[in-house]
Amino acid sequence: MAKRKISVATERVPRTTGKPDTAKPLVECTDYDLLKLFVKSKDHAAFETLVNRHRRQVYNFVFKMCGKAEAAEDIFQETFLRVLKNAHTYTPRAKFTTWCLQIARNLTLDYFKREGLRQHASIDAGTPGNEEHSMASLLQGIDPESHEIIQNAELIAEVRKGLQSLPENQREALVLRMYEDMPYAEISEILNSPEGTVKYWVHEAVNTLARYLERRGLK
Amino acid sequence: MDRHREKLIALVLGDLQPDEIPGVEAQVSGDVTLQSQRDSLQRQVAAMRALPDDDIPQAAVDRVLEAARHFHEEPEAVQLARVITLRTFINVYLPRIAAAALFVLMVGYAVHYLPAGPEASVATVVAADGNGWAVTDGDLVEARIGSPLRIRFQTGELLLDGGAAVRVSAQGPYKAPQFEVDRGRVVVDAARAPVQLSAAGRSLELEPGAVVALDLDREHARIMDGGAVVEIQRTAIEDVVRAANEAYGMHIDDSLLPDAVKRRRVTFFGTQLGKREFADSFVQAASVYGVRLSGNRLLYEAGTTHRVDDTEFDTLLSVSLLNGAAEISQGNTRQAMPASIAFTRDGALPGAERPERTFVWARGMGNAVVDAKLRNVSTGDATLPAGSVIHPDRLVLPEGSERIFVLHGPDFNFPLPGGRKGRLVGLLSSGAEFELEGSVTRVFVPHSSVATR
Repeated sequence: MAKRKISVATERVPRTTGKPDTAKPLVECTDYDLLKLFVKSKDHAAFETLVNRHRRQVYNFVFKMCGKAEAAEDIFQETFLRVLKNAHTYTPRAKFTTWCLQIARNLTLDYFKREGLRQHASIDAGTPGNEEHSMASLLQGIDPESHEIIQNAELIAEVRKGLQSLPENQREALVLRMYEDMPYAEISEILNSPEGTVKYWVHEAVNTLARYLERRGLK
Repeated sequence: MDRHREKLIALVLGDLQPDEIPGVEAQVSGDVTLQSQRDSLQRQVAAMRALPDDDIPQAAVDRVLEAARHFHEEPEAVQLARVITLRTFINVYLPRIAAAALFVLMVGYAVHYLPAGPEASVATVVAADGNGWAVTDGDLVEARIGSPLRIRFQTGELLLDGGAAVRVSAQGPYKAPQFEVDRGRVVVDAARAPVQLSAAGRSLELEPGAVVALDLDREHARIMDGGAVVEIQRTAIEDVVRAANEAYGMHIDDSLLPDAVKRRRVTFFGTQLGKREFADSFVQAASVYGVRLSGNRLLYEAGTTHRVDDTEFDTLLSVSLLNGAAEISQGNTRQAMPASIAFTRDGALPGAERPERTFVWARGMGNAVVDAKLRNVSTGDATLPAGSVIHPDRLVLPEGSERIFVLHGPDFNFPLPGGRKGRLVGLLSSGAEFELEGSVTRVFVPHSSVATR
């Protein structure tokens, strides 16, 4: 199965000298160095580089979790403000991505609590009607590797709807695995759960979503 | 999810171990149904992957960068960015470090020589909805009916069924806490360190990696919040009357019941039960002993007793070893834990209960080890409606008497989400287990959830 390409720059292993390498162009600096350059040298360009490096990944995670652009933007902004406020607690022992996504995740869960969105709607409950046939005609016979299917807004909306209906733990695990292409070990660290449990959540999520799409005619 | 489907999903996601792939592929290539399922899954996973990347609007990024520009004007940033010179270090920081070291020494002395403070957190309780709180030494953690809880500690976790209770004791900073089961069902996963567990005078020592399911079936009665939570387990009829009169302000009179009948024990669990629903459930449970309600008086009708022998206390404690190894001891007797064992008041009965029956409820908690043992059981997306009452042999839905589902009844007549029909095959305090029509899969539907704490 083809792996998805991700546009986020690969994080380098942070140096342990404690001094940012100011001689390097910013794009080549590690996340840790960028953060230090910003905090100690007030280098705003360093922070901008850091944000741009991780903006897609953080927003993608938050938006796919909460499904609302406005809320996702707020959480995104709050995430990076927390990164600033807690920069002194970050150590290069943990990957910046892991740390940052943990912050984003906590803020997303706080949002769910505030909005009372923790109870997910059952995706089993709906009875497929005419939409099944329209979806079926759109999807039958399509090559799984083809990007043709992404053109269909209706399908995208169905997948988003199915995703939102998953329990939070399964949704988090699936988004990080399928859309961020993260290894299970890293997801386990972000979700603070054993790897086996995370894998189970991903498989359960795929099973539930697949059954959902099946009822919508994608067989 | 059955085993074949799980393997197919792992295959399609690329999650199989390299040595597993040839076996699964060979199995698929020789089975047309599996091939069709795999192709469907590939299309469905491709559709899932086809969700486009979402990128943040530049305006939102600009707002973050603008906020960052003002960050250094704030005091905390000034502190973060301060360059520590040698002079500053000697004049300012060295005295502070010395003071801090002295403070740490004093605190260390106090911690070492004084009893641990009551605030020391030994574990965390997490509810099914993700809310959590800290557990301190000596706390009794109680799970309400319909609301299973998970106790997470540094080296493992413990799952409590709805209606179960466990006392947690600290064993020092480098050991897992000790658990004393007060009542109900628990599953303990001693993932990385030994765990000690006790219940009804027996002790269990779990080795790292061991998973044990335990059910302590003892008397317990609780009616909370005007009937929002009703847990009546193995409780004498006279005690249920007293509890109901107190909780609901009822005036049920049991003075006309013979003493032997008053001491008969009943079990039922419900949520959101009003006075009338409670009385109906109670009388239904007590009717097997010939008890009926007339006005507010309980009467005994000789000759109508359906069950003469009170065998409810035959099994007091049942324990199943689901993974790894453990030892079980009583007094000075110590033995390796068999696959399953049950204790009555008179002694032990090895292999008394199927292990999976004990912990079906834990399936929905996402424990990978538990899940691996229960491949043909899934947890329902919906819950039983509020007002449902679970008896040992029947499930009563709140709409009325026509909605009674009898355990092991012949018909697949329970409507499950998605238009499926199920047959009631198991009842636990926390929900009901159904066998699906035309499938080997069973689905566990949890009791309606109530406030956890």
